[in-house]
Amino acid sequence: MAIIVNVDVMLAKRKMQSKDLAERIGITLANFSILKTGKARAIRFSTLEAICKELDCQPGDILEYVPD
Amino acid sequence: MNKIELTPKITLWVVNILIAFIILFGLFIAISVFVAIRPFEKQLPSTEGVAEWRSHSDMAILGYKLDVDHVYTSRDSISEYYKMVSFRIPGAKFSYPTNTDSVKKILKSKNDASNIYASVDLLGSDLTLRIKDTNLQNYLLFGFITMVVIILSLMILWLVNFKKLIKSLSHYETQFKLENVKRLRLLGYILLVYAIGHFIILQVIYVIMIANFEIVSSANINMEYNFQVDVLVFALTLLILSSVFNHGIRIKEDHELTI
Repeated sequence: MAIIVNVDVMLAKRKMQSKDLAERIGITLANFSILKTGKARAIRFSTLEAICKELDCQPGDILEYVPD
Repeated sequence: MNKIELTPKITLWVVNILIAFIILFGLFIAISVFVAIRPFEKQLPSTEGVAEWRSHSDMAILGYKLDVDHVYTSRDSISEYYKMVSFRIPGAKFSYPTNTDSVKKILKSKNDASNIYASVDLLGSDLTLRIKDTNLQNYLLFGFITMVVIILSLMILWLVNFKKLIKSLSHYETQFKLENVKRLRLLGYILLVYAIGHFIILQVIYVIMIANFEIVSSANINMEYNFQVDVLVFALTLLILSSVFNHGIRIKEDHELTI
């Protein structure tokens, strides 16, 4: 996939655990790991908004486009 | 777990009863084919002093009962020999063909005792046929047994798969699975094969009948069979449903992988 999810990088920068973030944005850990490993097909704006709010960052910090 | 309650339960019961009924019917057919004791022997018109019934065999094909009688008739020290074949539809009000006189007339006029003559009683219409091939009866019996076995096993296969499908569809979680698509496709193809095969086999039998039976006396008889359009439409509906389910699986996956 040309879109790469960099949530784990931001998590490391904020020194936060996946479990805590998943709890705060209100999704299950299983779904969060799907997002992290890049298996997700789509992401809801509400989820993106919650992640950006909790990690205090922009969507561009989480998502990255890499040409194939 | 979300579950649709009443309708699948009723459907499953109906399917179970159908399966039991088909198994019983198969057993009945098997018993009646292999153990059948000539049920019409005693219903024959009284021939005491006039005729002597030497041998008797009966078979059925597609609901038509076919009896073959080899008859020796002796009257006034003149012996006559002929065979008589009779058809009947099970369930229809049946009287054993008693037009032996007309058969005899035909025999005398054609002066040919080696042919088999058939007296047909189809829903009240009475006519006499001549069978050209005496070995035909064996093929007819074999074909009948084969058809019954194939149709009954197809029915049971269909119903068992239908049962599994209904069970799977009655839970919201297992509705959109690849197995259900495969089952729907199988059910559709079985019905498609049944509709087309039924039509072809009946046409073949009709051709055999026409080729080997010669209508001697006049009566209206329609042995052509219509194509089973309703079965075909149901089969195509099931096939379309299977492709709809295939699309549904993709939508469900997309939905599940949206975070």
